[in-house]
Amino acid sequence: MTSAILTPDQPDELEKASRVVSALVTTERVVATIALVVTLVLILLQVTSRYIFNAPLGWTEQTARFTLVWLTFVSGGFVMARRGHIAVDLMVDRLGLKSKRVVNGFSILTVLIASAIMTLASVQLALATMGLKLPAAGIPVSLLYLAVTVGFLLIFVHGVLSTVFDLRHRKKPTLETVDGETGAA
Amino acid sequence: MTLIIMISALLLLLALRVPVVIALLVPSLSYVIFEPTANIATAAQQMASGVNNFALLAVPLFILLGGLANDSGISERLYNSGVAWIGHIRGSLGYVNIGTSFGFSWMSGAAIADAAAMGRVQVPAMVKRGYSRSFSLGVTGASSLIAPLLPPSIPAIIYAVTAGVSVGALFVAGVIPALVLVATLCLMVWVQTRGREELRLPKAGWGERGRTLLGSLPAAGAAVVVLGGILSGIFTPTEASGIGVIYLLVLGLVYRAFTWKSLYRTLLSTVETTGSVLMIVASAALFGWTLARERAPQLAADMILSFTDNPFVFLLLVNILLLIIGAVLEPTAAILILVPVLAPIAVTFGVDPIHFAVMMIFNLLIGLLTPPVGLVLFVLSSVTGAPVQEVIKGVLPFFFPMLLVLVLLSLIPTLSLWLPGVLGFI
Repeated sequence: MTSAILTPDQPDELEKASRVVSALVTTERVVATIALVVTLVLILLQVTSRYIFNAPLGWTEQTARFTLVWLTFVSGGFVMARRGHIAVDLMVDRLGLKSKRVVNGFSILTVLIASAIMTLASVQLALATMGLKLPAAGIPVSLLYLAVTVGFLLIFVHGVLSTVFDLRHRKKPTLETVDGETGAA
Repeated sequence: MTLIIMISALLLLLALRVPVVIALLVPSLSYVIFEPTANIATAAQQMASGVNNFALLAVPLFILLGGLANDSGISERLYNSGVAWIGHIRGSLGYVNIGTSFGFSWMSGAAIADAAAMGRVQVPAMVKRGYSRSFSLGVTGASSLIAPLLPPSIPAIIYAVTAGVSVGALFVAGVIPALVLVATLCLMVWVQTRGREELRLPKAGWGERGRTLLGSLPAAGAAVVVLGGILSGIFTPTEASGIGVIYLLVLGLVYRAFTWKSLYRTLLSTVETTGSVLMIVASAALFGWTLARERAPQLAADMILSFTDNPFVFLLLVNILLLIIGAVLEPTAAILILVPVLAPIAVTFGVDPIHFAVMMIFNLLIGLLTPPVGLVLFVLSSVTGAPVQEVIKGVLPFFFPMLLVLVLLSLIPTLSLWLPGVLGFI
């Protein structure tokens, strides 16, 4: 298991070492937190408009779903900064240090390739849907798909950053999951 | 053939510690790239629409609700009240532990949160009163499964969205099974504390009882707001989650339990959990789409039907499969991967979708307590400082009541279907 569990508001080693990374992670946190609060407000607006003002608003649900998509992908990037994405540790725990490095190298390479392809795929989709709007909320559809682009771009960037950092510092094996912070079962 | 390659690739990638999100993504991406009739942009579209869903909005809000409930000190109040009322009974802290989990579960939908909160406070308290640490850990771990069974439940929301059943119906369906679980766990506490007369606390006076009960009443208020709203049809589950958050915010302000720092921390950890869960939802949506396109559910159904057409044998096989998968895979991830294939097969066997859902969710929850990948075991170990082996030793006896509940839930559909039927959800 991890040696120390960070609470999500504490900076990790990489953030302490680089101001750019620290600024990036802070931006992700703020954007994702705002998306969460906006989602909450929209849901409450929907209820109050229906019961208190007796005039249900048409755009709240669609806009809330839109912010949820952004919340998901931006926080997905943030989770990557902490290597917090849920993974199965079963096999790797039994390997020696060297094989562990190989497996982790393969794992991070897979993450980088897949997220690069997804970034391109979502850009393609955003371009293809230019000009379309979500019917009730009037938000451009491209903006919805841009969330996917941003999410995978962030995963890619954090993947590269932490790999470079680890290689320079030759820390112990990477990709530790922080149990207790992830998982919503 | 395509299917076999895709599923093998998924399993291989999972074994090589590739995060679940990416492990689901790689075979699906390869599929849209190499399949001439598919388009790579579809991958992004399926992922986005996987989370562009009204019912899923309840996920971050219920996670936030659980976090706020935790900060507000409600579990301590429930605990104090429990001790005042039944402290003098033999083995009382075991029952109080289960009861506190039960009370807390109306505000929390995740076992991890419950185990962390209860483990931090109750395990030391129980050890101080003469209970063995492994027993204290065991009862805390087993009772943490009440949270995701009782509404609100994060796995239930994920299941409902994946299988296309009503979130409200699935919420209500979990209530009786949760009560059955509570009863069997209490029975286990009774068995394990038999003859241990030293495990009694001094009887509390009526003043103390009244005072602590009053202190814990607001917890009941949260349940009334969230569940009452859903049951009466005033709110959808998603709206109820928002209202519940506001209720707890106000409550926490009244209790003076929140600081700006703790609020920000709770928001951030909500965001973090949401990110890791809903990203998997998104890539599982894409994976499920490719499976459906390759007719995986039909093929799997044909395969199983050629083997047996007895629904009980089917349920038995599914349960064995799920116990194995649950031991290595986190429940929501397992639900997302398996439901698109298993739920349609259950229907062909004539198993009610809601009954199947409750059984499947509870089965996978047991996996939270089984090594090698039992998240609750790790959480309990990290909050109490006990080695994981000791937690496992403590949880072991509780597999009896849990497996008993699983058998009951599998064989008696009424346990899951009666209440939603009475309340008009199905």
